[in-house]
Amino acid sequence: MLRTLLCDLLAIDVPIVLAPFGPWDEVALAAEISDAGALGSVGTAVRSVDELKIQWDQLRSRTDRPFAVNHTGRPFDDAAFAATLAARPAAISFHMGIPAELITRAHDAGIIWLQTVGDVQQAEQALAAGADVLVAQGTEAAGNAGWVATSVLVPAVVDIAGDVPVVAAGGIGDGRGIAAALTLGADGASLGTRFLATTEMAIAQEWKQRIVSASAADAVKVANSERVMPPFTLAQVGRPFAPRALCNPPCRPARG
Amino acid sequence: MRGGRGEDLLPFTGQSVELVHDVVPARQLLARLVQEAEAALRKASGYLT
Repeated sequence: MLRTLLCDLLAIDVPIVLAPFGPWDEVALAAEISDAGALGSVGTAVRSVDELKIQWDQLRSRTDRPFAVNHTGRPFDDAAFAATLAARPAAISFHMGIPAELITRAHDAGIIWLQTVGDVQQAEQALAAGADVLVAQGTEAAGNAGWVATSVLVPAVVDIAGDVPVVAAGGIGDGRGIAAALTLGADGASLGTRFLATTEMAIAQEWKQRIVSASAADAVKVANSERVMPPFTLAQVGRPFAPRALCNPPCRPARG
Repeated sequence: MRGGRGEDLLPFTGQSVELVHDVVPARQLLARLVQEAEAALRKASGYLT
């Protein structure tokens, strides 16, 4: 049996987190993952509050196990956040920004805060802001992520985290990666890309097939992504995150 | 993005794609991940003398 203190904190059975996928519908997947004993996540990007409430009702109709609702600072949606607080999920995960005031509001609502960090400076700020869990996300990760490799970032964050659990994210594609994360000192692992290639994930079959046939070299940091991505509306700490994706022309990989 | 076709422009995918070889049901995958992790940890502990 695989169990860490992350399981005790989140009331889950195994220390595995389904990464949030922003605007893409992952309700069915999150329900299965949570019901099976891990922590499912749903994103909130570009969804109206009414749409989000429908998603959360659907999720709660499928499982009574904990799940996390993700918000980001790219852009931050205060109405969606307020609705999330009212919905009282077990956890809120946050990406791109370390909003101390929002963490306080979540805690006032009895909600656990999972803060994604991409370097030690962000981790220090997240700890000072009261984050309950640090998600140390390496540059290998899909979507918006930082610039430090998971194998370096995780132990560096563990070294300063004290009693705060650390979840490793980025570049974890199978159980060996989860084992490696635990060996690096993490208390759990978050997986994104691996879970995209599931029956339940509501993305195009074409994307799933591209995932199955792609190599690591195909998943690149996208150059000039700010031209198509929403702007950051919360202050960023250090170098802002940038997206990693399978490059479709006219997409070009970033240099360096 | 709102229409669920954001992947036409930017299909967010990580480098772990190298290790993804199938599309499977979520519960089956989760069980497999746990088994793989346990096996890897047991193997590593065997290196201790």
